Amino acid sequence: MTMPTVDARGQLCPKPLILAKKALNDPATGPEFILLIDNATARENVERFLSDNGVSFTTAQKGSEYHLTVSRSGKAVTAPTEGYCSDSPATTTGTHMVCIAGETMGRGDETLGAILMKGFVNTIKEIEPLPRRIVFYNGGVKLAIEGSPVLPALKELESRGVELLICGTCADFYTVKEKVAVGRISNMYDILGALTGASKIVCP
Amino acid sequence: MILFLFESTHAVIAAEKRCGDAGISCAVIPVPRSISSQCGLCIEAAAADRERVSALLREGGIVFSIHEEYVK
Repeated sequence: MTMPTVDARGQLCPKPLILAKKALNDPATGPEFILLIDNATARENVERFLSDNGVSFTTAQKGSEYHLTVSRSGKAVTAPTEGYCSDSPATTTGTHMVCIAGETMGRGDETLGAILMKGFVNTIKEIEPLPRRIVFYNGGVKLAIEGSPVLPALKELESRGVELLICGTCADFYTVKEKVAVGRISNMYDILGALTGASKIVCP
Repeated sequence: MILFLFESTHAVIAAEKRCGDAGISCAVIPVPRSISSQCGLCIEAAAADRERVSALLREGGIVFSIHEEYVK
């Protein structure tokens, strides 16, 4: 039996997201389907949407196309797709990003820097548009782990569609990988790609 | 939520540490523009923790004031 295929090639966000959600919620789809996407942004957004909704999938790149094999659990996916699309007018995120490169804000006294950083992170959610992404590296990853005083603020940002990228190398170095409580573990390609693609980078 | 306001940054740092050590959830945030304060940062806590936080701060000899009508 051939697997059903959902063709989202040539479609810009949010169309691939909508097609994916429709296929997930259609009992006629069967236990698995293949989603064809031909642009990297749509792929990234769809993958994020699937991960956040506990849907398992694998992605294979074929030339300039991405073939996502998606498993249907049978459970309805009711989450809205709007926040997952960087180009969607419904999103409140902008095109800039925030770069958290350490535990402190500015240079000078460490204690002062730490309290300033807490104030900074707790304020990100108050300023619109929200950043498209926040990247955490080196000591900055410690702000995204269990017990971090800014965790509630980061969780709120994530729920409002801000993507949080946590440097995996750094979390591993500080042996906090198991404690990362928000965002997703990321690598240098993703981080550099995100920094390169941002319209502006805000560095506390 | 209520806000604890302080007279210096050192007091904010000490207060945040005391709350953290006691396991009380609080957030360091900038003092809202609508409130004047000597210091730019303040501490936001749940109204239910008002007495606990106040007692901790008094114990530490930290001078503070509370801004009650803070609606987020």
